[in-house]
Amino acid sequence: MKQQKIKFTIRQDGYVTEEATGFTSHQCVSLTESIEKKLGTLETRQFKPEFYSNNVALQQNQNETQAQT
Amino acid sequence: MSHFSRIKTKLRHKPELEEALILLQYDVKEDQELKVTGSHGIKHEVVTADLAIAKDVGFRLNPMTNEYELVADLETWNQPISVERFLDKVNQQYARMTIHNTVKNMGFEVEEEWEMDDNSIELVMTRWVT
Repeated sequence: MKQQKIKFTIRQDGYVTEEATGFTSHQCVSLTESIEKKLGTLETRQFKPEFYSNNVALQQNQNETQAQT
Repeated sequence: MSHFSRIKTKLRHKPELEEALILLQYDVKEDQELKVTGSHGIKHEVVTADLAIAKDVGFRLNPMTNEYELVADLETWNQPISVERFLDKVNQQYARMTIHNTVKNMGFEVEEEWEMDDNSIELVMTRWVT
């Protein structure tokens, strides 16, 4: 079992930033695309380096996220 | 594996807009005729709002953009907050309800939700997959 996580930050003017972790590369985009379409207009999308690797363990992912904050 | 996206919220769906207005503690009525000042401030015109929160404040669908837009009489605006702040709050709650409803349908559950010091809302949704 693997955990997929999406963190949303909704600013007080309604702008939303979304950070998705734990997805396989293409699933990550297709899933969040449907959320983005429902919400409004996508302005920017920035891939994290691990997007380009298909075999990164979730634990590593979490460590990287923590290290960034 | 991961990405960041930035999305500008658009008021396109009536159920979530209604939920947002109710969350902001407005008494919402559907399909109301509102009296608002005409474009030159001379006479009043009657506009049908899909959702109304007062006799001169509501939202109607703009068929050109497919988005709900505010209909209000700015000359008699008597809400406790400014028009801009009101629209910001509606957009924020609309985004929150849209995320909740969309992501829950995909099998995600709310792990954390809290309001930050800068009035932004953080929402963490998770699901387990094999």
